[in-house]
Amino acid sequence: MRSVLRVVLLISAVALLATSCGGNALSKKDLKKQIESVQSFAAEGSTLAQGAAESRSTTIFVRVHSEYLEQGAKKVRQKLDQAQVSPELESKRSDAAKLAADVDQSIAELHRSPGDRDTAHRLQLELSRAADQAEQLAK
Amino acid sequence: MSKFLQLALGILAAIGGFVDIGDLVFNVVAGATFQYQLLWVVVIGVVGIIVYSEMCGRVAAVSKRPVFDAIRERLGFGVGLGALISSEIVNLMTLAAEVGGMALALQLLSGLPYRVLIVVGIVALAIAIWVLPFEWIERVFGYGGLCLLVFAVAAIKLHPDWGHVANGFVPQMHASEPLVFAYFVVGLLGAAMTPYEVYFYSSGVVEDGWTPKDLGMNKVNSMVGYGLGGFLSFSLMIAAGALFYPLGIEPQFIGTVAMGAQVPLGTIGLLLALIGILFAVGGAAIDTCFSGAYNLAQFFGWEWGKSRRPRDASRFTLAWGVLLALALLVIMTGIDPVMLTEYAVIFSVVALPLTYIPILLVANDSSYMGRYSNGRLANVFGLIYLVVILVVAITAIPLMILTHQGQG
Repeated sequence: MRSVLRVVLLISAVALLATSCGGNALSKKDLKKQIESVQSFAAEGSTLAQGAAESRSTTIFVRVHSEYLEQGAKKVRQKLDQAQVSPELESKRSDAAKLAADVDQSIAELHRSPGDRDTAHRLQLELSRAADQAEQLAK
Repeated sequence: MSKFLQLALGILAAIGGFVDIGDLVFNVVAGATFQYQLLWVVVIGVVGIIVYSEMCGRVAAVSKRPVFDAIRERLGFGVGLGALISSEIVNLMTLAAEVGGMALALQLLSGLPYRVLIVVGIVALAIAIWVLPFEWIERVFGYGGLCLLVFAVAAIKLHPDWGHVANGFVPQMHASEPLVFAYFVVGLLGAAMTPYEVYFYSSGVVEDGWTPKDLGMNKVNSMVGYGLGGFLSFSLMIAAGALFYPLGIEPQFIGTVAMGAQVPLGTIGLLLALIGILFAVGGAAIDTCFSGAYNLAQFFGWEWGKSRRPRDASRFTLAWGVLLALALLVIMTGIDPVMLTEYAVIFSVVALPLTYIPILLVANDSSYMGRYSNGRLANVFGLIYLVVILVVAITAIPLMILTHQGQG
């Protein structure tokens, strides 16, 4: 049992060392992951807004869940704002940061007006477009 | 009450009580990430928990000794204490995550502040444990958890490609992201083979005074209860695969899980999903809390049992009270319950061999179990799962680190 424990600890230490370098620098793969997160928040926000627009959800659920989504989107936005990337990725990072800011703002608006069906319908379309843009950007 | 009705009620409660926050998180995230490609892992996990719990139930019914009693005897005090400490840490993490999950479900239903609802949840759990008899706890939370069947309806309403779903039951690997795929294999196995369920079950066998005459019931309970409970896991993964995967949604919140029922079924789907989540994680919180107290009491030889008056099993009663208080402190720090769940599931996988191996040895010991020791089939399954559990335990933490908890 002890030798098994030693193997686990050794593999974990090596894995930790292998993954612990970086700071604010984003590789191409990391940037892609961040853009995919923007797509995820946009798509989920759009789906949530659709439920609100079609009265197929509760106002409380939309208000509470959109707050969690907003917090998540804000973290991704901050990461993209502060990230350092290689020069050839800079334009992509900048576009992604702008998109993340738009997504964050749209979800925040949904959080403020969870019972307004017209606003929800507009936000559904905006967030759906943002999700499509993020998908293209991630490619 | 007829035996058949008792069995039916027990099975219904088991279905509703099978799913906990670990199953909710891992099945939904796995479905959103790999669509239906990981369904086969749920089958392996469910068969594993059936094998494990059947052995524990049989050992408890024949010897009147639940898991940690047998562990201390087999492993000795030192190693046994190590197994106890690791199990208690995982239990506490799981309990805190379940309490957090309860508070999140209540928040999505009521809109009240999260921290207030954590306290409400803890108080409600303490009252339920103190006031309700055992079978009522099982039934109230088990039947409430049955609302999760809404995900089965949702999965059908989302019109998945059933050919792809069927293909998901064939074991496979993912070529482009093998490590992330492997991480989810480990997580899904851990979520299905949660040890606290087995500690709770074997202690219940002793509390209910089962004898070798009840071994048939033990088999049926394990196979049908966990088997049908696995059906809920399939439903969650299929609904997530049909809804979230095509949209590129990466579920990170309990609310996202509920949207799996809200999108196809509207408000009623949403409410049933949230109520189901509330009762399922609430029931799991009680099971986890009891498991922690059972383990301590059985290891140190204290009087224990829910059926005893608190003053007759005072240290056991104090133990579950302290565990609830510690869970309150942990979750009040603001730690994300979903993240805590992932850690709890992965660490439970690491600790699993420490409790599985002694039970396999005892169940296989004819001097201890007499004619009720493992037969050939039980031994084959027992040994296959020993290998599975060891591989999964060794790879769990490295995979978690290398994949940034499945983020790639």
